[in-house]
Amino acid sequence: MKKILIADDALIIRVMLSDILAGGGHEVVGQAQNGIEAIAKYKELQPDLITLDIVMPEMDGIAALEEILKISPEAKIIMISAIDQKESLIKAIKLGARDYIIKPFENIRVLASVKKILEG
Amino acid sequence: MDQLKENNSHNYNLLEVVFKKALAKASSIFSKTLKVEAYFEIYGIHEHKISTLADILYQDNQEVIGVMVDLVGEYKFKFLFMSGIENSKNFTDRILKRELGTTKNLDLYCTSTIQELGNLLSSSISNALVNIFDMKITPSPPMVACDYSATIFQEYIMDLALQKDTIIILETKLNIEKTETKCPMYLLPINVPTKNFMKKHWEKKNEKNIDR
Repeated sequence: MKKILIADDALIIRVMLSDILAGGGHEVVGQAQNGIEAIAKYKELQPDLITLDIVMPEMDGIAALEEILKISPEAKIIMISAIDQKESLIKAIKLGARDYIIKPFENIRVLASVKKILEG
Repeated sequence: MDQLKENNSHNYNLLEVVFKKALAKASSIFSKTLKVEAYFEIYGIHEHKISTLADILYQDNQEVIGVMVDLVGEYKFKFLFMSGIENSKNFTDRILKRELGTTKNLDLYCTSTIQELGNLLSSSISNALVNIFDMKITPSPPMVACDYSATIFQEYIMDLALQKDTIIILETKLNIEKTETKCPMYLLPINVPTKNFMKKHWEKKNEKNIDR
């Protein structure tokens, strides 16, 4: 069972993603409400994959992505965001995010992306 | 004076056209999220003196969950979405795919649902404007408050009141399954876009497309 960390400032999204991932046979080992918490929980829990929201208070997902990749350049990160703008999408992928899912998301799309990245 | 009025009216029409497209996108995202037929339409575009706004706001003052997002970049505006308590419970059940009526009390799930709906709506509006005009617009993290609608509105525009006397309000109404639902969304442009402003961005976008 692969370990996944979810970072999103909205409780409802963390609950929805946890349900989807648990339904797909994954273990959600932790949740973070902002980029700072995501980095701390990444260090503590060493998950196999992280989902990162872009717009979060305190520290956004792009800054957290950069920091986590400094700690572990091989970290597997999926950006999940409502911002569907080419610039932010390209920036995240160039920095090292493995995929980018636009909200509102479909369960099947989330599980397919997680499967592809964990197996890749 | 007449010329000024005519220019304002023309620019308000422009504002309406631009935001109509953005609202179509927002409606589609809202419907997809809640799995219900829903659409936002423009209820009116008004210019108000901030000092007299309180009288209007208190006419329909109800307890709501409000989400506030500042959209910053090449075109700045404030976004405010408010949902009454009963609607918030209903939306929570819908988003969590539970039987309607399951949520009995206003809880963290309700506030988070409205926070996320506000996030999705403001993002879809900024995404639409970015795609139409190739502007740079970024939403701030959504702020949530549970209070009376007039209080939330007044506190949110407090910083604008320090800069100007009047405020432009683009007010929308929400229809769910063809029934009007009291969930107003307000877009507060810091400035009304002029024809030249839009033309400049439209040309910039076309130039980029030709370069590709």
